[in-house]
Amino acid sequence: MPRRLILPMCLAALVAFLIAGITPLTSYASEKLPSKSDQSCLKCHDYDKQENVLAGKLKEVSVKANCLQLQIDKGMDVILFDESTVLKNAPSMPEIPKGESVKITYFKKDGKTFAKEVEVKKGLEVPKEQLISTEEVEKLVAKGPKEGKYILLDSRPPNMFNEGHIPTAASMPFFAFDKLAEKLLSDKDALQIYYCAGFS
Amino acid sequence: MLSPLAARKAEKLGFKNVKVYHAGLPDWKKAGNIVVSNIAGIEELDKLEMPYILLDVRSPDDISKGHIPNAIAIPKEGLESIKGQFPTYKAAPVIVYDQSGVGDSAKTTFKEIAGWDYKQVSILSVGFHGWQTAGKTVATGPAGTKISYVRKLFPGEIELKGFMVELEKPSANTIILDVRMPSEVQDGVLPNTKQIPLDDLEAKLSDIPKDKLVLVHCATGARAEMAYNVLKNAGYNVKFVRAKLEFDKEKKGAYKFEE
Repeated sequence: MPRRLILPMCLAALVAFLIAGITPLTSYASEKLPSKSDQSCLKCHDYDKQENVLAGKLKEVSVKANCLQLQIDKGMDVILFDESTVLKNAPSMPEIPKGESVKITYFKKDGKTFAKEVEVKKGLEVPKEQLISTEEVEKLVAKGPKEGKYILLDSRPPNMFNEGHIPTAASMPFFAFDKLAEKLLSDKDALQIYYCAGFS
Repeated sequence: MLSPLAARKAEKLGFKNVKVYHAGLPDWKKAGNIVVSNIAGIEELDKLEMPYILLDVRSPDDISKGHIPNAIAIPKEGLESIKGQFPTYKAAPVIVYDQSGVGDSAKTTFKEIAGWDYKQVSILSVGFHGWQTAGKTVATGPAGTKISYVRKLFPGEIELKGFMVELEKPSANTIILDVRMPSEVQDGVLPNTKQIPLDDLEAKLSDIPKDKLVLVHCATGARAEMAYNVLKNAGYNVKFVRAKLEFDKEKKGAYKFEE
């Protein structure tokens, strides 16, 4: 969508909303609507199995027009918000970094899309004491799981594991974590080390 | 980004001794460590008809008795003597195997090829013995001696080699489009290219002549592929290049462009 069209579109949507809008927005929020999610979000979340969710990358926020633009895969969605919209993990709408992943719980009113809640993805920071370095993993792998008393778990999808993984690792795709936990994590005392394709 | 999530789940289950190797596989490889693959990995490549290079490091006698189909034997002159047969495409999967797993000759071969900057090298963790024990097809007699790797292109993809020919000597019937963001364009541009950020592409279609072949590049290939789809849907004759472009921060105009 051309950028210069966003503001007029937002304004048009806002006007429509003001005309219709004596009722508070949230009273419309009970209707069940299909979810739409960027592929990148579905790697870790099952939004496709939930309702009323729009998940994607934030492109633009216009405070003047109380609207934001969300990119979901190659498509763009324009979503309205107001004071009743709950914002999580960010101090204010304009302070959400552009391109950040956001999950929006939405409802429809008069054909327009409104945000009931905007949740900004929490940075997946790992506490320092939980991190393990390449050198430490190298030492353990050289000893092997038995002597090193560890279990090394690859969180990536199975096909990536099959193509190439760290020696002595077991495949434990994140999607199947719950299913595999009982089988793979039987040794309660062993050190568990999780890895994947890094920070990307 | 999956490993921190997995660690959180493990902690919720009550495990106390949970660590995250956050740098993960990319850093493991960078440090020069061995990467292993398994039989399913070879079978998946076969199923997808994706080409790969399979190297048997065992003796000609052992190879004659049985080897994995499509394997190439390392000549007695050494691996170096067939280096020229390796593809320019550094992400080509290369699988090395020996008799029973990660032996010294497999390791040496792995390290030599990884040292040539190939990104997807692995050692078959179970070796030929594991392959045979699993009841997989075994070929007998001598293994292949020549690597013939032909990269399978993605729909709409042009090989970097062909793209560079056009870039250096653009023909009148070609237009080369750079769909990076303005902030990236500041770092440098390739010669003979036209800049339209992917975001603006649909609005600026009228700037692109329809009677020309459009070649698209970006910094990695991801956006170039999206632009390819936009232009294809708009009726253009278009191809995109899937390669990593980096401009030199010190030397103006210098760049690295590789598949």
